[in-house]
Amino acid sequence: VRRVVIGLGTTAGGDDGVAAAVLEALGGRVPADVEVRHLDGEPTRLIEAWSGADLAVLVDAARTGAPPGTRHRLELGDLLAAGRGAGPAPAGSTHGLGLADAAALGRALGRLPRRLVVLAVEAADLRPGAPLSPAVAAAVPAVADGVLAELARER
Amino acid sequence: VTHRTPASRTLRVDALTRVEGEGAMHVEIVDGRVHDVQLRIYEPPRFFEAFLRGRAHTEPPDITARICGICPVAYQMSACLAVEDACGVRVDGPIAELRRLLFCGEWIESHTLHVAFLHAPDFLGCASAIELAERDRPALERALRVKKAGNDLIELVGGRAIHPVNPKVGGFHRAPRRDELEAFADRLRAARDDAVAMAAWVAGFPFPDFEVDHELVALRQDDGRYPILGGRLVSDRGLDLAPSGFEAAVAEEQVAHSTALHARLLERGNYLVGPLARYSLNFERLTPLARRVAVDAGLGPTCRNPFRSIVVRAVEVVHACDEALALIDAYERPDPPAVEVPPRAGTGCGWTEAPRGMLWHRYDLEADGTIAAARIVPPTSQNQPTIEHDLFHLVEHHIHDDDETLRTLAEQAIRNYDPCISCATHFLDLTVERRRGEDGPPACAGS
Repeated sequence: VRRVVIGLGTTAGGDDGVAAAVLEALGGRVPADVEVRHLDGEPTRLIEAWSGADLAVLVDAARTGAPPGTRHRLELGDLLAAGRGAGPAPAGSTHGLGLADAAALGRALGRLPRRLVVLAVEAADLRPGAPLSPAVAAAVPAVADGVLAELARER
Repeated sequence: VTHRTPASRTLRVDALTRVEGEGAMHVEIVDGRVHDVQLRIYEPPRFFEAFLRGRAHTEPPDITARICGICPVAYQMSACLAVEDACGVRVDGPIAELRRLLFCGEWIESHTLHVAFLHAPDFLGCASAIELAERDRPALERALRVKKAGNDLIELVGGRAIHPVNPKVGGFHRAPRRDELEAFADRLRAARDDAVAMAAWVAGFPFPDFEVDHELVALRQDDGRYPILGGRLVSDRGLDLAPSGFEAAVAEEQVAHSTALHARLLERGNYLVGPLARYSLNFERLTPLARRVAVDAGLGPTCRNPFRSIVVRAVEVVHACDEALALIDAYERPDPPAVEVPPRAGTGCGWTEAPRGMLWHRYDLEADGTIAAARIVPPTSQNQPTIEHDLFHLVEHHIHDDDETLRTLAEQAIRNYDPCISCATHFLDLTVERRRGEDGPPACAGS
């Protein structure tokens, strides 16, 4: 069983750094056979990272209009349904189009993971240089636990 | 969504992807003539310039690498060259060669992403890379292999692919062993074969007849090689500048419709940086294989059709693979992997050829190395007036086409320049507004 955890986002864009914070919070708790990557959301890099995986758990920031710090969970089907329409994906991930694009492109190239889960945190402030908002920072431990729970389900 | 009123006609496109970052374009047509073309760009370097003030002279490579996820190496290398210049240190020999090798990885990765996934769909009537993948999966699988080779080369030399951590002012934290690089050579040879095939693929695309007369501007290295790192800035019309002379020769102006500053050469006007300029000024400096691939692809020694920039990029990928192999072959592991760069008060400038064109940095240092001021001029802000110029004339040539045709052509023309509008989101809004003169400002043929 090949499992991969992928954090998405930059550390230079406020709450876009939530994935980096979650990866840090995971520390040594991720099983040794799980690959952990930090990416910027560029679709072909994502496709390379999840190619051949049985499970890919993605961590991202989201913008849906929900209160900052709200946690969202999406599966592959949600991303493919989001497709390439106008406006951001329904999930409102800050890499929404990139993620939906990557899923659709991955499918067209026969390079999707068997299962894909996105754990996202509602962002408040995406300005370059801003620190994590308090509500987003407060959600980090629960998202880290969520990643471990997803991994435990696929062993 | 198109809506009409008797007085005006507005076409609006949301969620146009396939440029790096966020931007918007507005075309205004009054009485059947192009009145105005505006490219709106959100550009983060301004923020980073402020962020750099007060930081140590060793920090710009790490900080500026975060400006762009697609070309972090160019930001790091321009930063290193500028800081080293301020400190009176010149880094050459095996360390400079290793930097060049790292840079080749970025050209391979960035160009291949743009050629196959962002730009090729335009020429093949596909709405996106997804549609293209459904139609020609082997072509995109081949591109994925090339891109991954570039990505892995950056990881091998740079420590990781996004925000490489290994480069530093003075050189590298750690230099790879010769056997590590040699083990990668087979991957690069395969990527080079794939890149040659990719160039032949794009050479067969249909290209609109469209030639531009912009001043072509690129770096010129004194070692006779294709420009990547350092050297002087030259043009096809006699420009010849040292890095320290750039600021005095170029005016950056604020325009209302963009946070990006527009660059113009004083008394010369708009100019073009990037693959077309590099290629046209340095054709003889390509490796023999890359030159042959260019000729086979139907390119002459110069290329002034921005739509053919996709072919030039493919040729540069071949060149970068070829040159990376030569660099590995001649590799001497630098020991130590970095030279000391003791700070001193002063100003330093440095430039490199980012995949999209020349990228210039300037740092003013205090005696202890604290950064008093920083300035960054990225390729996209230099090309912005040129892109608008192209759009103006393209729209004028096709003024009687319907909005949909016009929109498609304009989007493609913007993507000719692979504008890096770098940051979190990926939108380009395009509006075409047609109206009669009496409903708005007086009609004119443009300015």
